[in-house]
Amino acid sequence: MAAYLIRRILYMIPIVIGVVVITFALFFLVNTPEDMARTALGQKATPESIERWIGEHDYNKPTWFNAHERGIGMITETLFWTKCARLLVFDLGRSDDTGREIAVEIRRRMKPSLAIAVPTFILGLAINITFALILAFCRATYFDRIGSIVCIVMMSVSGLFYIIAGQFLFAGWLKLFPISGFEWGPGMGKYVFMPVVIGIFSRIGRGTRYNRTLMLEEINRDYVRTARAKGLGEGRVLFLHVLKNAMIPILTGAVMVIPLLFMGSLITESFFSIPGMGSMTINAIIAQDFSVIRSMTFIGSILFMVGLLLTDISYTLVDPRITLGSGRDRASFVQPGARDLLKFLALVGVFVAMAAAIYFAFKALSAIQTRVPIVENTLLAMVLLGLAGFILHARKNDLWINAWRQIRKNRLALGALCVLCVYGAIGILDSMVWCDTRQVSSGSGTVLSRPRSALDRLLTGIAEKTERTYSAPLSNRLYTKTNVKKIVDGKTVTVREYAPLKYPRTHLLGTDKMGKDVLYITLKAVRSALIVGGLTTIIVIPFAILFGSLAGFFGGWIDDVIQYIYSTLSSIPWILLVACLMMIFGRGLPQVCFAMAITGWVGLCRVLRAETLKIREREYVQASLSLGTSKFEVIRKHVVPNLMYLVLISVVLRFSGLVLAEAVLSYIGVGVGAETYSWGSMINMARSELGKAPMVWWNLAASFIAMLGLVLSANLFGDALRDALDPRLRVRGEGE
Amino acid sequence: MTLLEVNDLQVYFDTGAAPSKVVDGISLTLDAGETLGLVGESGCGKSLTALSTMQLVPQPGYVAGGSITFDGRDVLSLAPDQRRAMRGRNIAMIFQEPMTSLNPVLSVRTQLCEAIRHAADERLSREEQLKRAVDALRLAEIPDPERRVHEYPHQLSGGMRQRVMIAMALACRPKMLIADEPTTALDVTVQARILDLLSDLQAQLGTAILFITHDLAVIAQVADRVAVMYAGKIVETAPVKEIFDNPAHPYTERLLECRPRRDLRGKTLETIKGIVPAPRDYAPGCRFCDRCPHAFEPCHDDIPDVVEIGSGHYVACHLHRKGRTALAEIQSPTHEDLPASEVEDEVILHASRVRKHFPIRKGLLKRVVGHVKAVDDVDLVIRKGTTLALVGESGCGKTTLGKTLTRLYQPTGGTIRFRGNDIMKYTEEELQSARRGMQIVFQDPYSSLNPRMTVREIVEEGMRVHSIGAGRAERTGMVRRVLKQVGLEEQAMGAYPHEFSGGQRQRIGIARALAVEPEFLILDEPTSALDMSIQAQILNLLRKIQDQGDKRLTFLFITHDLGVVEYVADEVAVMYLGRIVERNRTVDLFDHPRHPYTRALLASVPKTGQAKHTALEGDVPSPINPPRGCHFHPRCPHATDRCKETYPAETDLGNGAMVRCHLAGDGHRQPSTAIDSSRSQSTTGGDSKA
Repeated sequence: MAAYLIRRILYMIPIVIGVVVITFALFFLVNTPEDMARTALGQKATPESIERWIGEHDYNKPTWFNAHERGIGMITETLFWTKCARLLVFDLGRSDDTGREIAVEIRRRMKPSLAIAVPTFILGLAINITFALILAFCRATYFDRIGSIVCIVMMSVSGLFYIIAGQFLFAGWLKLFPISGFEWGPGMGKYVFMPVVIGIFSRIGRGTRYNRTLMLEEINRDYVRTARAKGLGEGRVLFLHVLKNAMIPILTGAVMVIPLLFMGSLITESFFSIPGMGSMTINAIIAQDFSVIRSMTFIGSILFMVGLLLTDISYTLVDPRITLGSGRDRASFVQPGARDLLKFLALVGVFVAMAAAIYFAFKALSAIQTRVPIVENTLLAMVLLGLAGFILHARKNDLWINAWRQIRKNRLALGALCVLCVYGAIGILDSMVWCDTRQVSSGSGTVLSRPRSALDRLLTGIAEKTERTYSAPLSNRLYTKTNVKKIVDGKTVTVREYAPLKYPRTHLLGTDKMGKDVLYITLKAVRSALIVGGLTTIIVIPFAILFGSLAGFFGGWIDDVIQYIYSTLSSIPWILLVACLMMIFGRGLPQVCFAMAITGWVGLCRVLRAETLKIREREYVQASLSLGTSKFEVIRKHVVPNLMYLVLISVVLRFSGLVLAEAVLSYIGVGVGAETYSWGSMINMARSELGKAPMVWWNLAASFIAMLGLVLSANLFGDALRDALDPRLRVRGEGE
Repeated sequence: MTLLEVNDLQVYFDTGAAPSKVVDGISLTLDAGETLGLVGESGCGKSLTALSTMQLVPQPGYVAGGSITFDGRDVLSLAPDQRRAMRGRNIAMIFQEPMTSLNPVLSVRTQLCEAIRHAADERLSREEQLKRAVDALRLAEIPDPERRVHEYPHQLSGGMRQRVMIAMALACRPKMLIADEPTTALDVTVQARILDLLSDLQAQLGTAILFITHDLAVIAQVADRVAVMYAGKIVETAPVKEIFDNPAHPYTERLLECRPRRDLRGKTLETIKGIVPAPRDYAPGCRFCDRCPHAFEPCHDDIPDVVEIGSGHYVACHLHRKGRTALAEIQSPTHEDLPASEVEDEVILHASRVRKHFPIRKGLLKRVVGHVKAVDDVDLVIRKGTTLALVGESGCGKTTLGKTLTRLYQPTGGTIRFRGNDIMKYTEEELQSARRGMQIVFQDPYSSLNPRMTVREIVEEGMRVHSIGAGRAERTGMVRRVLKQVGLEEQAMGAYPHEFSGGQRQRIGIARALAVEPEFLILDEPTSALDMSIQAQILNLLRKIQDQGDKRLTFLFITHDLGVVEYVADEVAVMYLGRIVERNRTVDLFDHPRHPYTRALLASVPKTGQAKHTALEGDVPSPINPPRGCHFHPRCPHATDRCKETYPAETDLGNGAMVRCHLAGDGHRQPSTAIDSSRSQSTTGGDSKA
């Protein structure tokens, strides 16, 4: 046990170093100190002030290696050493933005964060387990079915919406609590209550569903039958036998999260103006305060690893079968040959090169103006071709045909699929872009107009009917009073009043602040959401399959290397990593996709690795090897096809997660940017709109419903797909 | 006195459309203190019959009709509370998988005490509960029950867990015990002891036992009466002796006849054509008629009535209606002779001192602190055209040895010569092409075929690798030929594995191996996952393909089933804890076993007319820390001090036979015991049960 713990702690060191190097590299290799100074100083930056800022903040050193110093100074008098390596001894330094000592700041801000996070966590866990138990008790009844669907609906709603709606309900409408703020001490309750309740509520769906699945898995085990055969009551069977087994994954999963409670919740804290760690992080992201971001990244990753360690320890406490640090060597019986490795390295190279080539080609091509924009249309063509290819393949393949037969029986899933198709059609229409040529009156030639999509052309009726500012749905006047020049009795006077609209009663969902039609914006945002979900997944899949199957199949040092890479990546707090990447890439739709892909392959890779571990023990893999098939071929023909069902399931289920994540990123200010329509930006706007009197609700409502429609149908369809494809579930469904 | 009476029981599965009639009108009775054997192949509904007496039919199954009377009470109309009170107290049950049937996170004590509390009439103090729990464990002959009661299931071996299950079931002294394949997952030596325990306890407590199994040999030993189930119906009920001596239903008769036996060596086995139909394919008449060699008109349309043809002997078959002759008279055995094997002297595989050690790592730096010596210094010589059987209990390393011989597992040491070449020296590429000569047929017909490939792709894979056949058209012809060789239709080519039954899948696995035209086949338990009637088909097929090519194939047949060994093997090697302890020609080994372990193994095979086994004590020790000296000495009845110190060297018995036992080595007289005399009788058994 002791040896195991020491080994685990030693194992953390390379990961921590990896985290520090990655954060450093992200900032200093792509973002020079000048860039940082320019961001910090804003518009008024002069070369002198930039120079001064760099000097004040100690950034005037070489990056990795100082040739002007001697001895140890060659390494210590560098940016890497002074700014990052000192983190390893918990020397956090001062904030670039405010100049405060970061360690002091953290100590001060930890308490409010914990005051919110701890009750949310404990009460939330208790409530989720209770609900899951109730559903498991009533399994296979109408109640359970409805409960499960309610859970899916609840988890399809963006967390941002829960907060906005909660604030509006408790503070705005019922006026029970202050809308935001915090104070330490006895009066704390009124500030804590709302964030905690909303936090719990927003997690009920996902948590209950997950716990219910774990319990149902246990309910079908043999020992439960034994317990019933002994004559035990259903209560004892469920609360002792089932719960005790199901609690193992539930508790250990919960232990994982405990250390991260210190980090607070970014979104909640910023919405409720709670002076905690989360709002500190978010302020740092907005202000591009690097020294705070790297401290937070570092602390976050340490806490993550502590969580992992606690998880392992808690396993031994709750599960008598597990003792730490013992057990057989799990090394694979297949050793990679040199040829196989070369092939795989080549494949990795090809994938990386392809991703990079696509990225840069699109960047370059989007600068070229043609009548038919290249980037959008190529992308569309690729997606359509891929879809057609899959359908052609699936029509011949038994597995997919059977899955489709199953799904066809599920009316809910079919409905979800129809909704998805509608969204898809909107996205496709919006991706078919071309320009009109227009005679330029003054010159002789023609000039290309702004490219417009097929959707734009279909919606010309509303797309170009812009008002001055807000107007309510189907209204005939503006929402707020403006100065209107009127001719009264022959004189021109300026009156404040509700001006009539230019296009009265045409805006089905009203107009936004800029006077644009909300329906139009909402529909345009569909494409953004689809691209965020779809493109990210397309980038993620090849890498996840390659690394996952490689690590699982060969084990040994290959597994170690790949596991190291993804442990390091996953120990950096997700939102910080994406935020860093977005600062480097700049804002925009493809950038969001790439940033989320770099962080997103880890989860899928881990799932695929675990599945490959099982597949490689199957006898058909051994049979193929004993036929003389090369290992590369075995992976291609036997492992990867058997992973595809998992890939498809997680693609559909992750898709909805990505759409929700985009909204969060937009809210933090590292999303797709103002010039791209997205539901995230709309929700972000809605925050101030709800505060207006009278309230502007249609912007939020439109984005909420549109987003819910997409995410919910993706979740429902993904669920049905999992039921249809997952062999474990299928076996159970067939009875004896 | 009748304890249990099941009348016209129907259990249906709700599958959306028409319910599938998994149990369709079963009637049986069980007297107090009696053992009724319920025997049948998988999927015939025997477990469901048992579960419905406890009202534990799993979803989406339900009892659709009939009645169950237990001890004068109508079970099916009981209120949930009474139903629950009856379980455990009046009827207890033990299950097939001792590994999964106990709750892994609760101690033996917790699981025993809750059963004891449930059954007790008065409140028991904690001490009293513990005392009773310990008593129950002692009753099940668990050594050191005071310590064991506080342990968790994972700390116990499979046999021990099954004893805990028995202790739990009998702690409440139920009137009836349902044993659902209680020994199927156990090794043959452990099985022998569990069967002994059950019959001892039955004699002691007077419990009635409903014993469910697919294994006729086990039934022959434990049951007083036997009910044979087929496709949801009972086709024959008779006293155990009557069933074996005078089977009346064609199914029973065929089932008995298709078991591999020694006297059938060199002949084909009797088979039952086709497979057990799925519930939705049940014929309107007799459900066996499609597979029955004696079927005539009424069989196809009318469901046969149950007729009594002797004292307590009932059968549901049209052949036995009034005026019909007995079955034995209208049929003739159809065992065909197989071509005699010509054994050449050429050695095809020569392994010497082959080792496969799996390292165990521990501690700070994950240093190797020990090895699981799965295969340890094994010498094997296999002559061309012969069948060598490798026999041993689970965990003895026989499968690992098979995989090590083809270098599917990289051997830790030793040399392996295949056709005279040392394949240990081969590079990866050389090995890949050499593997064409040696192929493996795997145990599990479900996990050995890739579910995402069609049969054609599966069979063709090896051909592509070794560039057999030029072009698609030629290979198609070859695939067709191979499929025909293993008895599959041409239409099978485009289908996926899940469309086939277990036996057909095993045929596909054999076809895949044959497609690359190997000379040497490793058959790793090829029939152990199959039903009895299918096993005979596959064994016949294997015998047929061995002689089909221009050269006779060589087989390494890995199995734990001694009946199969006696039928197929030319030579036998017995493995214990990673080493081969005895090797001899089959007939000699079965007639004159030299190693005490071999004797024990042979003695453990269940057979009629034997009240009690001379079973081995204890379980197979862990291969991580095998006992010092002879690995077998802690369980050996003849162990001497010398056995505790040194591992015995090979004693040459001539003719390539050898044994590794100190007692055989130096002129010691072989300890001749009563084991010998009872050993190799035909397991059918003519003797009545004692």
